[in-house]
Formats: sequence, structure tokens, C-alpha cells
Amino acid sequence: MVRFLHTADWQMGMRAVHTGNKSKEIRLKRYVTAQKIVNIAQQKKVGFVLIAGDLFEHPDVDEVVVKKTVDILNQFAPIPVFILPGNHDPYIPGGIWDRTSWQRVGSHIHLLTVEEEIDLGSNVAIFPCPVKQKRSSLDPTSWIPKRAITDEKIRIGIAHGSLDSLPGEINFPISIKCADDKGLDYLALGDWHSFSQYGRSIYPGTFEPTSYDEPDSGNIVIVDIPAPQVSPNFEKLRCSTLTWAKFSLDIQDITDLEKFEEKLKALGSYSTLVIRINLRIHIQHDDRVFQQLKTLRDELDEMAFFLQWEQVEISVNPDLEAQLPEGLVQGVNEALTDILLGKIPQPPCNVFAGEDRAVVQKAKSMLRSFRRGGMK
Amino acid sequence: MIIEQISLKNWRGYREPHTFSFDKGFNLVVGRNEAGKSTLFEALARVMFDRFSSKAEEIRKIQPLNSSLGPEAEIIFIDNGKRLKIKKRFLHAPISELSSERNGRWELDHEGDKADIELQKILKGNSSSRASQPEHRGLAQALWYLQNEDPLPKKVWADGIKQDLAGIIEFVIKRPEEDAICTSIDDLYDRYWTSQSGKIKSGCELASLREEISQKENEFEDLRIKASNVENLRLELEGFYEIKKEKQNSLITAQHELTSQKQQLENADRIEDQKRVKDSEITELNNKISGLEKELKTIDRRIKIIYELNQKLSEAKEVAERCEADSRIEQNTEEKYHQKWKNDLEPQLKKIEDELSLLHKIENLSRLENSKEILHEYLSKLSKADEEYKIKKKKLTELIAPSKHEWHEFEESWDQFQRVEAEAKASAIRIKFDLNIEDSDIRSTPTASHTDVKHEYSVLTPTIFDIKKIGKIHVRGGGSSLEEIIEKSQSFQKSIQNTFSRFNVRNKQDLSDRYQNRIDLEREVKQLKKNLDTLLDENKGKNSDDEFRRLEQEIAEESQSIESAPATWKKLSGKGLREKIIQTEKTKKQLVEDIEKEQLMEKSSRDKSRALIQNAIDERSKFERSNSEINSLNNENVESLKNYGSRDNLVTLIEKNRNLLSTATGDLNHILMDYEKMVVLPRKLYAEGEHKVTALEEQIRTNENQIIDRNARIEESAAQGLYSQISDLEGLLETKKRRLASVQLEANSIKLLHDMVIALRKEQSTMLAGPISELVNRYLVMLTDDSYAGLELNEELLPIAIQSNRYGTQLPLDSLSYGTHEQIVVLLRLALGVILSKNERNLVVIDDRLVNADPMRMKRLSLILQEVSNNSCQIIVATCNDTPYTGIKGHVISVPSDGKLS
Repeated sequence: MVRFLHTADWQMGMRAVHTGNKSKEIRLKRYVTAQKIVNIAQQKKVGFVLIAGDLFEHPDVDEVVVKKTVDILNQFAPIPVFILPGNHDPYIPGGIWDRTSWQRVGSHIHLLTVEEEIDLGSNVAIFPCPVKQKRSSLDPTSWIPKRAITDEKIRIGIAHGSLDSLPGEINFPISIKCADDKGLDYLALGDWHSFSQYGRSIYPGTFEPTSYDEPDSGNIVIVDIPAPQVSPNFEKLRCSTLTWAKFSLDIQDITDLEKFEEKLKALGSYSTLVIRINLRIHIQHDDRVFQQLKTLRDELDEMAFFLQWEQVEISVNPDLEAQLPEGLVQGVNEALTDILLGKIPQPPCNVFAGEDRAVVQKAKSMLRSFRRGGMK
Repeated sequence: MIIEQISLKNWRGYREPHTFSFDKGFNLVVGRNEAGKSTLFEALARVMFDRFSSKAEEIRKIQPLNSSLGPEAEIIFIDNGKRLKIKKRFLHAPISELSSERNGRWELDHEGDKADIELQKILKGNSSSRASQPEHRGLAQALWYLQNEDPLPKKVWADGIKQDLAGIIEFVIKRPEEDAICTSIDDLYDRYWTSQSGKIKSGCELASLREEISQKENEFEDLRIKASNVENLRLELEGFYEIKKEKQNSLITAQHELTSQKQQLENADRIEDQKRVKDSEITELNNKISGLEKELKTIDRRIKIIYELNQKLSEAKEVAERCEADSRIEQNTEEKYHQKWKNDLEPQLKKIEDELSLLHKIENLSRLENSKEILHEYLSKLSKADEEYKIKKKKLTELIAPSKHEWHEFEESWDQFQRVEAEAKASAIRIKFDLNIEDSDIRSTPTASHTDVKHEYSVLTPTIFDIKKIGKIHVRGGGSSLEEIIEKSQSFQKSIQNTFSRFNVRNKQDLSDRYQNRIDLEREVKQLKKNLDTLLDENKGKNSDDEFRRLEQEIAEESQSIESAPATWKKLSGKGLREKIIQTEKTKKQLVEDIEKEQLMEKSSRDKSRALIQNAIDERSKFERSNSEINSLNNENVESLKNYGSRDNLVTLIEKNRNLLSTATGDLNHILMDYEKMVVLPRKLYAEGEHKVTALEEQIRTNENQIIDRNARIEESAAQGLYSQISDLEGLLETKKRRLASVQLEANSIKLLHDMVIALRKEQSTMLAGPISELVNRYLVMLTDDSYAGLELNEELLPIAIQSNRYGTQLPLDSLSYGTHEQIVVLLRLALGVILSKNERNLVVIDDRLVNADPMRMKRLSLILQEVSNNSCQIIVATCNDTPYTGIKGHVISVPSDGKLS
């Protein structure tokens, strides 16, 4: 019986450029999450920890990132930690693993740089598949020998790459039948940022989301293998600190807006949200929509960890436009409406027919905003 | 608005009250220059638009000269069918009264400021407290074309004009809501764009963001380059690791090869020993042969030298003997020369020298005697000079005569005496007796001296004159001065007499002669002393007597020494003696030369003899040396051949050793073939292998250093936090770019709104301009007979260009003649008048503006004026010449005569 913690893709020093001036804080949050994993390993009394690649975002990450990460890894002691170089932190000359600051790791930390079986004792062996370059079309697990008939060990593979079940050309392809073919009891994988399971091959996903497009990220896996050639048991544990979410939706009336607010609340505390919102607001008589939207935005602005809010007013309501004063402003509005409808406006505004639609749409929104008595 | 009547008093030339009435159609105000036509219009404008309380300079100018009364005017006008009257007085006791006619009676509606304000409302004016300008006059700005005012406004017409036109032309008037939106658009537009050029406003958020992003992008690019340098370092590092791996493999291979070559070299030592033995044997044989050959060569060289020395030996002996014989001959010759000069020439020379000595002595004797005679003569001269000197000196000593000092003292006393005498004479009392007596009748005691005048006496001392038959007269001076003078005179006289007696003379002349005698004698003694000193100087430092005695002794000695000389020589004259001496000296010289010549020959022979002897000695010595050398060489050869017996034996021995050497060399060649294969080549390969290993080790060390260097540089880069800097900057750029996109969209959108508003506003203006242009153009065609067809107005209803049918093109307005330009302005104002008078007649004023129109144009213009006045407007035209307007039916007002006195 062996119990271990399987994690991957910590991506320490991640840029998170799309979060603008919050990127630094997002980088710092990963240390918090890493610390949580140390605590979990200790609480769960695991025999060892496997980090299946991409511990670091890049070989060039700052010295301070390496130092802080080493400090956290050292806290696993005495639990042995086996770290596999991934495609983000490959085992290359001048790479992250050559750094002086990395040399500070404790003796419980084992960098897996050679494709050779490692006997962990207690009838357990791991088969590391280190990545030594950024890209490759070769299967890194190909070197793992098949289980001999007489082999009674618990065989655990650790690799970083994409399972070849995916279509198209992939980096470091790994046979989806690897675990079966090689007689592995468990194949600890890294590279995919969302949790995925393919039989005994498991991606725990990144421990802390790195983008809006990672539906099930922010987990680690605790694996129990009772005996050789016995199906492993695993427990997926959520550990992420921030919640990333994006919304792109139409608001036609107050009901739509209320539903949207319900979804936001379901995500948990606003303070942990990294959120991107794209709204298309349909013009209507009901000014409450605008009022409520403004309130929501103000609330998120104040509370959310990161907010990116974009909105456009898209539809034309002739009844509403009738509210604009007759004369010159009405003429401008009609010209803008014509352009949006693909028509050439009446002279003298016909010269503006080729204007960018986004600009015209915005101009229309602004005109209505002026009518309402102000603009945000 | 039209006017009916203008009354004015105390207004420039109109001191008395005048009232002018106007028709509602065409009015022609006619008057000569300065008659007061423009004053009427001035009154119209000032009363209608100026505040009654204004004290502006323009108002003050209205006041008649030398008048303190306030200018005053009253205007009756019709507005909106209502008859109104405004009365204003300026400056002094100013008033403003607005009245309206009700039921045929005037009723005062407003007065003071309120009257002014109400009037402005009616006229749509906008006048301040100061004198009004055209732009303050509402519609009147366009309809009243007064003198001294610009033909057209610079930028825009007054607001009232466009409003009225818009109302008339039925365009939609802006509403407050629209204004608010337009203001918002303008405000937001102003935030991003410049109002003039429509460019992005410097310092606005859009510009700042663009600038900031550009700057950050540059920074980002710099960081990216630095990051790519790290990547390059890593690539280099990869290459270095590859090289290291390759070099290490090469090193292992090279070390294996070296081991193998070392094994091959194990047999080399044996072969090398064989070679060394054989090399040694050959060297030994070579040395031996070389020694023997050297010895043989030495023996042969000695034999050759002995032979050569024997040759030289006989030659030396022969030369020595010949030299000795020659030497003897030379010695004989030398002796011959010696005998000749010693025995023959030298006695002759001795004799000649003796003779010459005698001759010299004779000559010397003669010279000594001559010197003695000169000395004798000198001594006589000296004795004579000394004697003469002593005589004169004695005479001088004995002479009784004043010295120079005494003479000068005397002369001084004499002069003073003379002066005192003259003074006494001048001071003497002169007494003249004018009596009938003879001189002889007068006696004086002491005797007084006569002057040149008859009976006049000069008295110096108290004198008694005894005059016969008359009596005595005592005369004496009144003061002491005359007596003192007389006393001084006597004293000097006494001193002079003493001098005379001392030198035993009677008068000054004698004393002077004595003094001159002394001077002459003294000069003579001085001259003699000088002569004596000169003579003594001639023989200075010598004792003449001793000299004389020495000469006498020398003469005696010399006389004795020439006793042996022939008597003839002694008798020779100086010249003869000198010739004899010269002759003898010449003979002596010849003899000396002959002796020297013989001595030279003697010396030459002696030198030759000595050289020959030395040569003979040298040859003898050489002979001895060669002989000894031959003996030595023979002994050395005997010694050298002692080991071999004979020279032939030595030659045989050498040949034998050469054969042995040949055999040994053959053996060595065999050994060398193995040596090359088994020693030289493996050793070369081993050395090369060693070199290769060393080089590879060095390369690996260099490679390792490069790896260390690149790793250090990568770490250094990481330590700078480049990766997070890039991340932060990229994040910031992302934020800024998002903000820029949003701001740019807003800016573009507001620009679109703004541009649309502008376009629509412009269209509005064009709509206003349309009817006006149309009317002006109709008038223009009438006026210019189709030369000009279309006047283009801008959105402010101001003319900007004109269509010329003659040139088929548009011309700028300023290219027209002054007259045409003025006529167009008049037409524009008429057209505005017509349009604005759609609902009510309005007044159009043209103050003397058409003077530049030709008769044809004037005639056409009259038609237009007639049409306008008939159909639309009240027109008042001022002119000094009514002829051009005769065709127009209207009211003619002569100024000032038609102004009825109130």
C-alpha cells in the first residue's frame, strides 16, 4: 500500500499578463496555494509527492521566484518530493535547475533528470520521463520497460506531455495506452491545466488557474495504491486561492441582469474572483437596467480581485429614439442608425457612411447617455 | 421698423431744432457736402441704440462747438404696426423717453434706462453703456449702410439677423434640450480634439495614453531584447555542452591511443641500445681516423715547412753578406764627407768669424765714441741752462715789484679811491660869487678850487673866503657825510702813497711797469726751468757722469781689443766698415752652408751604412731562427713517428681503420631501418597523442569556463528580475492598451458626433443662405447685365466668391473693383432687407455709397431700389448729386433746407 500526492503545472512566476496591473498579485497568490499543498501533504500523511512537470513557468523566472519556491518545497521535509522537468522548465543547459538558488533544496527533493527506474523501497518503483527540450514529437514514456512477469512492484510512471487521444500535432505525445502497455499501476501526468482522468493516467491540472479557459483547474490528487496491479484510489482536492471566470451575455431586461448576478454570487466571494465580463445591452425604456448595471459594476470594481468589464448597447428601439429632441440631434441619431442598418445616411451625413460600426454604436450610446444627462 | 420723422437740435450743425419727415417708400436725402446728411443718420443710430447716459467720446463730439447744451433728438417710427416715439438728450440733463401713440395721442411708456432697454428689445439691439457699434445694432447692422463703417462684418452678422432670417425661412429653431446635448458633445469633443484643426489635443488622456504606451513599448522592447539575450546565452550553453561532450569523447579516444602507443614503445629501448653501441663504435672509429689523419697531416706539413725554411736559409745568408759589404762602402763615403767639412771648411769659417768679430768691434768702438760725443754735448747744454736759470731766478729775487696779489690789492684800492674822489667832487659845495669883482679879489682858506663857471668854487672842507673890500665868508657843509667821504678818500690816498713808497715809485704807471717787469721775469724763469727739466728728462734715471765714465772705459777696452786688426780696417769709414762687414758675413754664410751640405751628405751615408748593418743583422738573425726551427721540426717529426716507425706505417694504419668504419656504418644502416619503424615512428605518434590529449584537456577547460561564464550570466540576468519586469510591463501595457482602446473609441465616437453636428449646422446655414443668394443673384444679373451671375455666401451669410460669366469662373470678392464690390454689398443688404421685411417693412439706409457706379449701372440700380422700396422696404439714400436717382419715384429731402423749424 502506498499513498502519495500527485500535482503538476505549478507554473511558478507565471506572467498573467491579461490581468494587467494585477499580474504581480496573481503571481504571489501561487505561493499561498503552494503552501496549502504542503499542509495537505502533511495532513494526508502521504509517502511522497510527485510534481509532474512545469514547476516553473519559464527557465528565466526571477531569482526570487526560485528562492521562494525552494523555501516552500523544503517545507515538505521529510516527505520526499520527486520533481520532473516539464516543457516550461526543461532540463537544459543553463536552465532553471542549474541555478545556484535551486541548489538550496533539501535532500528530500529529488530532481528526476534520467530515464531510469528508481526504487523507492517498500516494493515501489517510479519511472521518470524528464523533458529535456521545449518541444518534441517523441513519446517521453517510450523508454519505460514493460512489466516483467516476475515484477511484483508497484510501478508508477511520471511524465509531462499530452495524451495522443487528442487530434492534430501535439507536444510530447504520450500514448493513452501507456499505463496498460507498460504495466504501470499509475501514470502521474502533467501539462494539461484541467483535471482529467484516463483510466490509471491522471492529470491533476494546475493547482491555481492560469487563464479563463481552464474549467476544472485548481486541484491536486491524493493517490492510494493498495498493491501492484490493483486499481488505484484517488481523491481530488480543491486547493486554488482564486476563481477565474468569464461571462459573455446579452442583457435585454432586468430579469437577465438578475440571473447574471445570481451566477456571479454562485462563484463565491467576489474578492477571489478574476473575472472578465462582456455585455451586450439591448436599448429599452427601462432605465433601471442601466442603474442596476452601474451598481453591479461599482460593486465588482470595488470588491473583485480583478475585473475586466466591457459593454455595448446594441439594439435600436425607435420608440426610445423618439425621446431625443427634434432637430439637429435627431438628425445625427438618424444618420447613426442608418449607418448601423447598413444604409447611407441623408446628406450631409452621407460622408460618414463608412465609419467603423463600433464607433457608430458607441456614438449612438453616447448620444443616449447625453440625453439621459451624463456619461460614465 | 420704418421711420417717419427725425427731429434734432444742438446736434453738430443743427443748433436750432430741425424736423425731417420720411416717406415709407424711397427717400432721397440731397445736400451739398457738409450739409448735414450723415448727421441725420448719426442721430438715427445714436438715439435708437446708444444709452442716453453715455458720455463716450463719440457722444461728446456731437455737441455743437462752443455749446454747453445737450444734443437732443426725437424719432417717430413704426414697428409691428405700432407708432412709437423715442426722445433722447445726451450729456447735459440727459433724458430718454419712449412713448407710443394711442388714440392719436402720445403717451409716455418708459423713461430713463427702462426706455433704453425696451427700445433695445424692439430693435433686437445689444448695446452696452458705451456708444454702440454696428454689431450692437441688431438688424440695423445689415440694413443700415452708413458712412465710415465697414462694408461687411469681419466674421459674423449679429445674432439677431440669423435668428430673424431663420424664423422667416422657416428652419427649425434649436431647442434647449438640443443645446444641452450639443454642449455636451462640444465639451467632450474639446476634451480630446483641438477645435481648430481637429487634431488630438496635446495632454489629453488619449494623447497621454498613446505617448505612455509608446514609451512603455520601447521599454518592453528593451527588456525583450535583454530576455532574448538570455535565450541566446542558453543556446550558446547548449552548444558548449555539445562541444564538451564531443571533446570528452575525443579525449577518451586519444588517451586509449596513447596507451596503445606506449606499449609499442617497449621494444624501442633494445633497438635504441643497439643503435647507441653502433653509433658509439662509428664515432670512435671516426675519431681515431680523424686523429691519425690529423697526425699524418701535421707530419707532412712539418716536412713541407722544413723544405721551405731551407730555401729561406741560404737566401738570408746571401742577403746578410751583401748588406755588410754595402755598409762598409757607405762608411768610407761618410768619412770622406766628415774630413772635408772638419779639416777644410771649418778652419776657414773660424778665420772668417775672427775677422768678422774684429770688424764688429771696430764698428762698436766708432759707435761708442759717437755716443761719448753726444753725451758730452748734452752735459754742456745742461750746465748752460742751469746757469742761466739761476741768474734769472736771482734777478727775480732781487726785483722790488708788487706781486700779483699786491698788484690786485693796489688796483682795488685805486679804484675805490677813484670812486670816493668822484663822490667827493659830486658832493662838494659850489659857491658862486656874483659880485662886481675879479677872481683875484677872492681868496680862500684853504684854497678852494674853481669850477668851469666864472666865480664859482667847489668847497670840500670848511673854507673861509676873503673877498676884497667886502669881507670874509665862512663856508662849511651842513652834514657829516661829506667829511666821511673826504676821510675815506684820504685814507685810500694814504694807502696808495704807502704802496708807492714801498715799491719806491712815484705813481701808478711806475708801479704798473714794476709789476709788468715782475710778470715778465717770472715768465722767463718759468720757461728756463721748463727747458732745464726737459734736458734732465732726456737722461732721466741715468747718471750722466757714470755713463760718460762707462763709455770711456768701453772705448778703452775696445781700442785694446782691436790692436791686432789691420790698420786699413781701423781707417775705414763707417760706410766702408759696414760694407766690409757685410762682405765678410756673406763669406761666412757661404761657408756655413757648405759645411751643412757636407754634414748632410755625411749623415746620409751614415744612415745608409747603419741600415745596411741592421739588415745584415736581421738576415743573420733570420737565418739563425730558421735553422733552429728546422731542427725543432725534425725533432717533432721524429717524435711523432716514434709510435708508428715510419710515415708509411702511419698511412697503412689509417687505411685499415677506414675499412673498419665502412663495416660499422653498414651495420648501423641495418639497425636504423628497424629503429625508424620501431622507435621513431611510435615515438612521434606518442608525442602527437600526448599533444592531442593536452590540447583536448585545455579545450575542455576552456569549454568549462565558457559554461561557467554563460551560467553566471544567465543567473545574473535572473537576479535582475527581468522576467517579472517583463511580466509587469506587459500587464501594464495590456491595461493601458485596453484603456486606450476604450478612450480611442470614445474619442472617435465623439468626433463622429461632433463632425455630424457641424455638417448639419453647415447645412442649416446653407439653407439660410439659399434664398438670399437667389435674390442677390437676380439683382446681380440685373445690375451687371449678366456679367456676374452667382454670389456665393458662406455659412455666416457673408459673400466669399462671385461667379463671373465673362471669365466662366469663380472669382474671389477682393479681386473685384471697389465700385463693383460696393454695389454687391448694397445688393446683399437690399436682399437681406427684402427677406427680413417679409412680414413688416424695414428701413434700409444707404449713406452716399453709390458714387462709384457708372451711369448705366446707376440706372439699373435705381430700378432695383425702386422695386425694393415699392415692394418691401423703406429706403433712405443720401447723396450730394440727385441726378442718377431722377428715375426713382420717391420723396426728396433737401438738407438742411427741408428741416422744418419746430
